[in-house]
Amino acid sequence: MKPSTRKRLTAYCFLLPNLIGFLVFTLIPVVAALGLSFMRWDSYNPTQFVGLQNFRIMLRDSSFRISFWNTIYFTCATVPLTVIVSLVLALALDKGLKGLSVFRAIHFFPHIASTVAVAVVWQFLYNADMGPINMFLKTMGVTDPPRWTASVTWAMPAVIIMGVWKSAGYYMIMFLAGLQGIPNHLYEAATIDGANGWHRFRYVTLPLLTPTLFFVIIMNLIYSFKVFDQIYIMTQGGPGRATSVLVYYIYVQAFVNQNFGYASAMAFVLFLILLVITIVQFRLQEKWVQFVN
Amino acid sequence: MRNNRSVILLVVVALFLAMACTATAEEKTVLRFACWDYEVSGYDPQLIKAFEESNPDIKVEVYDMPANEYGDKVLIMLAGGEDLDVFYAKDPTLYSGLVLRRQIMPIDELVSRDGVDLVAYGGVLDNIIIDGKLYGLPYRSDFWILYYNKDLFDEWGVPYPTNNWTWEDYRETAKQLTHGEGANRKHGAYIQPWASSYFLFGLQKGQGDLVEGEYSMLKDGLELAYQVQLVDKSAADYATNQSMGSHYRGIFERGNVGMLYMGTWYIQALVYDAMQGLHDVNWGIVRMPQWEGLEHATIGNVTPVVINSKTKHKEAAWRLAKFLGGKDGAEILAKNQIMPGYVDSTILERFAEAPGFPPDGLDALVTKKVYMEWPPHRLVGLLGNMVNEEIVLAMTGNKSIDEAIADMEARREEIFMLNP
Amino acid sequence: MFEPHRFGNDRVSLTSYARSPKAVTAKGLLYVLLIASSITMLLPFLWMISASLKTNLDVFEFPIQWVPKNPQWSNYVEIWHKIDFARYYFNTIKLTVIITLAQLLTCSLAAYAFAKIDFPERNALFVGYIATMIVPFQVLMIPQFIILRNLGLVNTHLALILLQSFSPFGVFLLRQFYLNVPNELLEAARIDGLSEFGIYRTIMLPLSRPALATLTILTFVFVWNDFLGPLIYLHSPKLRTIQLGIRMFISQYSADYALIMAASVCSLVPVVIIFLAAQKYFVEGISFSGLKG
Repeated sequence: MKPSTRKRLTAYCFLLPNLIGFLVFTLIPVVAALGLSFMRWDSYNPTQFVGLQNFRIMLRDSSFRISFWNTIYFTCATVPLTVIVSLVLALALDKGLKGLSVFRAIHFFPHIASTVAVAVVWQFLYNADMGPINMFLKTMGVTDPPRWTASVTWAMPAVIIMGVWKSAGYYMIMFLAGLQGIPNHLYEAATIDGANGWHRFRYVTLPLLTPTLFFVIIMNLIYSFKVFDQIYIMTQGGPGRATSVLVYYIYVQAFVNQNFGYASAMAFVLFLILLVITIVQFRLQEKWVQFVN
Repeated sequence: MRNNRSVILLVVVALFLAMACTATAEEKTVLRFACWDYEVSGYDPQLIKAFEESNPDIKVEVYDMPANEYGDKVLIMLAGGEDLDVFYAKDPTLYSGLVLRRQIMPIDELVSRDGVDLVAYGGVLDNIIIDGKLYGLPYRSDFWILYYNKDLFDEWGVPYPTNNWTWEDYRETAKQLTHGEGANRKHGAYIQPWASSYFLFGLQKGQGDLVEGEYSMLKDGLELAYQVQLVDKSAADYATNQSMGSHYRGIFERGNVGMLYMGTWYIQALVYDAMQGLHDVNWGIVRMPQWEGLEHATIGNVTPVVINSKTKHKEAAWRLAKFLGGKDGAEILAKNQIMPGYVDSTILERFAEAPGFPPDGLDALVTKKVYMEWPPHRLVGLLGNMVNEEIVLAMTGNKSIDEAIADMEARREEIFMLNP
Repeated sequence: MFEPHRFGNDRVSLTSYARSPKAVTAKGLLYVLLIASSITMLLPFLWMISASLKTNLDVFEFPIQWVPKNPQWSNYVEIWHKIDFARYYFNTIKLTVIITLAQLLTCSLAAYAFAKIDFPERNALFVGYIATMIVPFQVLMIPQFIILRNLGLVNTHLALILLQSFSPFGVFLLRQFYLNVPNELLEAARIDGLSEFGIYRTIMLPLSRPALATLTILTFVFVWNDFLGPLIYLHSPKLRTIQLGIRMFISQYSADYALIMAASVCSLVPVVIIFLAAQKYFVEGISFSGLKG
């Protein structure tokens, strides 16, 4: 057997347990769903091929347009904020301070707390008249603080802040795992070379954390584009359509309007955008992601 | 010895019982029946038990689903080919969709064959007939009434509401019942932050429904709600209620508000909570207020019980549907203070027999004209979302009422254009 | 036999350099910030406890009454009687443990192939894996349901196990971590005559403990809190999970949030235990192997 054939065989042996399940329960449904983009389907009767009609409708649909831009807005704000906040948390909680394990657990709490509880607490924090946030803003001299979730302008920032707060602990965990993968002798070498804390971070930690950083950014992009729950619990897409996002509208078209073809077509657009971003990221990673190797 | 003998006896009895069970199970037709809140409602189990007792050849297998996700789950199950025989069509979106996709069967032939008396369903029936065909019998049929807290009226010396109130009376009384400032303000009224609480005033005018009618019909009602909530401040406003997760049940039962307009479904909870010792509100009910000069009308919604068109047990399924949506079912529902679709005078009497039901409240349950919140129509889901969004914008002050109504018209046109 | 502790030494972290007066103030500031952010992170949880001790009518009282006037400890008894909570608890533990173990196994194998074995389809296949994560669940639900229905698995726990045991997310997470393991290590082992599986088992798995701990936590939490999966696939009351069971307290026109919160607090206990148990690995994983050297 040629060495390359052997390698391939070994690779597939490793892949097999996952690959079979992946093909049957993920890939086939994904292909089916994307195929529905070109169909008219009501979930029950036979599908009907309609070509690009669903995509043409999208161009004229104001709800799609609004949800699309809201999704972009949400993603552009959420991804950088979350990455920075969770990275800072991970660095602060990595090692050294007393009682860190408790802090770490606490910062993971929003991720596991009941969504109802999260919504109630944030509605309380955001309350326009009696909420702590506006109280604070008033003492800081802001005479007319935002009405947060009741305002078309401020509802989106409100859900973004809540979203960053909620997922920071989640990504912090990934960064913490990544930090453990950095061999210590590199830090020591840097210290011996007289590097200070910032330099050690800039030239040792950050470069070697790039595989994790890459992972966190990709996952964050995917989750942000697919955001649904956190917006749904805070604003139900409102007021009006101010915080309506694509996946929410996809849900509405699929299950409220029972137009699965159209819902799939929107999912297809989402898919293409993210696929392009991901592939570009993969190309770029060769430039900025570094490995120990 | 004695012990041994009793053990043997027990085994013999158990074997015998097991055989008897398997024997009957083989003969029985099993119907798969979907509903929501089965375990918590208390009345659906009574219905099923009564049905199985009077139909010993049928066994009903119940699929209890969470109320909020009921429609989605039914849709997925039917799409995947899971067999349900009989189920409730929880809302007009689900019902219209089921009819449109031919997933449920028309029952007109069965109705005329068995001579089912349709008079007792009143005008409600018209609201579930699509293209001249009936696809289910109304199981529940709720409509909106006005609840009030007699103690608060007495406290401020304000006369009780009557069955002939106008919305102007409602507004004035709400003002008289409101006292205090800031966080301690006691409101005269409460308006649940649902779209229907805001559009029902418009529908009461009888100028058409929210699918076909002109949205200008909503203007007076939205103005009224706006005045009550943001000008008179005799009810908490939409944004406040929404952000605090307010729920009428907690608010009314803590005795905080004088008046609440709400569906008849709330009667059961009020009676039940009082029996549990959760509240001691001295409540009363009257008909919904109406606009000056118009004949009385209220708003309602109907839940039909429907049959899967692919059922393998058509006759058995029809028997179950007929039971749930007919007089037998109605008797049991009424005993539980649930407003059934089938209503005659004896049914209403059952209703009033409940402990704690206000003796002067029976008149509130007699309706002349009930308009549906939403008629059956294929686009009810999208239109419902749209109307909700625009009402919220108007009620949170992000848009004027006129702008919201104009945008509703434009968006309706768009929805019809995009979904030919 | 090759020893993995050849690289890495006692870990030196950023904060352990904090000795100068400037660093001490920085450390103090860090504590203040961490405590402040911990308080906001804990609010939803405190609200859950507080709400779980109220009567349902008082749950949404505003402004929030953090300490219930008349604590309803009976709520914690009632949940075990009102619904079959013990059974739901058991079902949830069963599903969570099986799925988490299955994911650890299948994902770590596949990740090894993607990270350390060179085969021609590697990149294309990997992008395919990631691409499927992009498609929103809302459009996959029905195709997936149809597949499982045709396999006769609807209304069984096996349906959920099969759906969730082959997560592309887990593969991605572990692959990123494996990439950082030095290739020389593996080469040395190959020269020592170790098979690929041997390398995976004796080098990769021990070294990737932080990443495995991370995946354990994230999967555990996901499966534990999953609502949509059980909602769609489980019909019989005896198969219900906690999240599905808790929904029994939400009926069409009302919801018993006091009981929901009592049940949610009880359901959090295993999640917190798992977190605390696993976190020592994602902060100490590698230095553990270094100690022997």
